[in-house]
Amino acid sequence: MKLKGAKKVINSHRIDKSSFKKIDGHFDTFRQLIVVNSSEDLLRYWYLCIDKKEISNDAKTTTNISSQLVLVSKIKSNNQLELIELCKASKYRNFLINEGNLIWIFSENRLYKISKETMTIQTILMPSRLIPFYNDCSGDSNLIWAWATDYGRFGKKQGLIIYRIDKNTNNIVSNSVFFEMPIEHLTFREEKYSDCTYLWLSCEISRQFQQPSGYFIPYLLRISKADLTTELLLIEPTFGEAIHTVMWNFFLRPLMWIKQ
Amino acid sequence: MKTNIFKNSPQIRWLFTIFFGCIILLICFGCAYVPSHRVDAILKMQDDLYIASSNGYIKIFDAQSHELKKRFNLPTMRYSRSYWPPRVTSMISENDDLIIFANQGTKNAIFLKRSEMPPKEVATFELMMSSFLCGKDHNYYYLNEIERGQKGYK
Repeated sequence: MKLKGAKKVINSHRIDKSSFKKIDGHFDTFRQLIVVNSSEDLLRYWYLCIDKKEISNDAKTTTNISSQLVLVSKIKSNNQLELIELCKASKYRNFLINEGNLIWIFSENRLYKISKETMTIQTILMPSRLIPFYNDCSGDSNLIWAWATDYGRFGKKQGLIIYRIDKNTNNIVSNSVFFEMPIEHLTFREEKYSDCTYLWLSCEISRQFQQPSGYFIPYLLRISKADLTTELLLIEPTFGEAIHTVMWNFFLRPLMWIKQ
Repeated sequence: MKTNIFKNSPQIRWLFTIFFGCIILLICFGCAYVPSHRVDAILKMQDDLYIASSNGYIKIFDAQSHELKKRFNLPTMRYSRSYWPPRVTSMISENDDLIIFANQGTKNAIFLKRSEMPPKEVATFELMMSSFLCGKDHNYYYLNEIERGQKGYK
């Protein structure tokens, strides 16, 4: 008898923007598709979807381990859908980047480069599972920036590797990022951002390894695109927030509880 | 003649000790629970960097100087017979409006902060589910809700 892991169930729904009402399913026609990421350009909407029909007949139940990844394009003028089947979906998150004439899909250690005009797919193998930065700079058109955690030797000290992917030659250049302050343990969150000069990541840092999660301190990590120098910006609660929290705990939360 | 009530009646002395002990314990409990502060979401709107902190505050920093310009807190959400700060799952901007998706326990809420709203006002739309935003277009927000099933034997 083998212990089986907990099964993951994804329930998909959409919310009407005008009325804020909930509607079951993501598409009216292809009910088995679950949107995991989306983007838009002038002519089309692009949705990266998981096809849950592959795994189970039960419409509500799916695991994203062996499901198929599908790129769906919707033409804005007539709402016509077009499906492109890609590969097995990653059990981690899949990312879609829409820039210029190309769609880039990050799934596991594979990168799919899809031409919007010819719909040809080019597969690029990546050194590890990369997470792209969403770009907010129209001038930075030749590179795609991505990051991965560097677990280091024996997984004890974590670091960061920044990858630069050349859009034309598909060349991937990696650089390890070093921190000026001594850091024992880092947890990077997937909240990331990129503007013309900096890459932004949020992270939590513990100075002592294997501390309980409460001891992690939140920082914003700012990396310069020019020379990959880092700066850590502490996000700490202000005095007013601390007073607000204590007041809530001390008076208001017990009062609410008694009122009910 | 003055009488020392603490000296003459040990019951009153005990009552005072218990009373002040309870007050000290309450203060300790009140100060001890501070929600873990972490960055839940980042969004850049024009020259401002919006950071959703897990204590329910949205902090607006200047993107260049990183100075805290403004902050506002999201309304608390009722969960498990009490009210708690919401955990922001994603933040997006549409036509200069800030749209915040947050959840607390099994509840999900959409907070809408229009550009013309007063600084501390936020519109709330509560939904009975715990889900996260995974896409949007001109008509809809697409959300997924992940339920973890029970572990079992094969």
